[in-house]
Amino acid sequence: MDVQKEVILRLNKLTKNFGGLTAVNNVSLDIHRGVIHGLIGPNGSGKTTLINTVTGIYKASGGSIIFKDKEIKGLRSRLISELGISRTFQISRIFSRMTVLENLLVVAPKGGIKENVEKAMQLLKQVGLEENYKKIASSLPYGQRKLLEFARAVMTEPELIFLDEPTAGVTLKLIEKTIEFIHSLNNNGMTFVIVEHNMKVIMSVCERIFVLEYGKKIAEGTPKEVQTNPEVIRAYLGEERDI
Amino acid sequence: MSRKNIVLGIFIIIVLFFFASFPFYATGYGISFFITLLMYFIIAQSWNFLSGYTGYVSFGHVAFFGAGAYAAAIFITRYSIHWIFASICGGLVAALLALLIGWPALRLRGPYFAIVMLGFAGVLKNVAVLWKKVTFGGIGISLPPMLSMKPVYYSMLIVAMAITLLIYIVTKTKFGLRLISIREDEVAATSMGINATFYKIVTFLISAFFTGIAGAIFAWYSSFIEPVSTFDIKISIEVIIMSLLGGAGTVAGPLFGAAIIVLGGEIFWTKFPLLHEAILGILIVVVILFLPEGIMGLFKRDKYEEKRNLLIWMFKKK
Repeated sequence: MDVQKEVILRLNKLTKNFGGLTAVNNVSLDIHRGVIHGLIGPNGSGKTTLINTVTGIYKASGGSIIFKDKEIKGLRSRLISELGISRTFQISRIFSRMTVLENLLVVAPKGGIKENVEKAMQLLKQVGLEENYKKIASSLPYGQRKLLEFARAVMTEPELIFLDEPTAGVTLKLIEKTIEFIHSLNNNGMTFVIVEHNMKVIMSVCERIFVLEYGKKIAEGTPKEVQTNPEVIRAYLGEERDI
Repeated sequence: MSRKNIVLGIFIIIVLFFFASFPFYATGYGISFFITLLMYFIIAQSWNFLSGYTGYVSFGHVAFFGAGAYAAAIFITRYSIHWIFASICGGLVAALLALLIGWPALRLRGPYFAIVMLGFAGVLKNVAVLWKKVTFGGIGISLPPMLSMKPVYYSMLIVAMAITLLIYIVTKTKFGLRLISIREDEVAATSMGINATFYKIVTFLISAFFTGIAGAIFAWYSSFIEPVSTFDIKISIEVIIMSLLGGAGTVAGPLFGAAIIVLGGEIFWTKFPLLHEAILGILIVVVILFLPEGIMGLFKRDKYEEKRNLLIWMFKKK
């Protein structure tokens, strides 16, 4: 990765507490423009909480979140989206009783329905859902719902997208489609932070990876560096003990 | 234009012609009955606009009905304002109250919002009872006698058409889609940049405005209002049942629901004077159990698609 690339998002000692539990603990990291980042860690390590805190669903307990040189900590999720950060959810949250096309039209930041149909159809084509545009979204299989949610996030015209487990429960064919879509957007300058348990996807797609454990960042680096990092191996496989 | 749209267009023209010509050949009882029906059209549609589209279920819509009725009655009796202008003022007063209660209440969701609205209606009823200097308390307010029912009938008809047309237009725009997105998943909607607070408040104001107008015209029509019947919780419950029965979140559903409940109530009342409410209650339970999306749910496109897919599957099997 070209480390000289502009930092689009900077988390500085970000902390999120739920009562006595610290779900995100003093996490500092830089997200670079146009780079695909990975965010990994065992279950309960705070990955989704970190996304929810950055995107304004949760209020940060401490630290700062700087997006394009502006402090966004404490802003509502709507304003954060307007500034250029979009996301998908771990368990897809599409608008179930709307059609596939309406799911995209409703989030278009500018113009009415007519002005956005062409753009929405273009996005649906990119994720292979153009033939399903009239279908009620809840009738789609799970994998296609995830792709629809991804396309919806792109429809908001963001500069940075958080993808929360985009390939979980998705067929191999649709995983390929998802990766293809990520690369196509990234080639046009889109920045990504991907939370994923599928290490094959993470290692092949991401240029830079952050590893969380119990809410703390324990490692960061290229896929190769992370794979050989003893702290990461310990977090995933546990420590050897003499019995 | 598709065949379906032509049939729908002809049906709407026939219905409109029927409603427009009705007072010319109907009896006084008939007009009076249709005034009540049109009033419920307005309140059920107004409730539907807020609760059916955004999912914020209001259990206290009678608050706006009563506020509109009292405001109009006060404007007419104290300031001698023409009842049509007083009705518009009644709608505006209801909208103003909606702004005051909506700002904090619309931050709540589900049962919390429903309970706040229920409490709000109760508070307004008590204000009407206790603020004797303005509302004359339990004695109520007597208005000048109404000389003809026709102007009242047409006023109700115009307002019912206006709210229905408004809902129809809104459903064809991004505004309408955004209301539905709030109902479907508000967290996802706001995360995608949708200003949910703005859409909820605007919808709440419009809903209260039309309900207030219905209350105001009703005050003029009945020539007398008092707190107990004007802020009767039964009105709130009835409009919820009407919308759910017809299909909440649809343009025509509340109209069908209101027609069935008002007409059904009248028929059962004459045939079974002691049991009519029980029979109507059983009918509602049966319909809601078997038609959870209301009557309009039968015509929904996803259901249609499922049926069509089933036919394709059966065809392939053979």
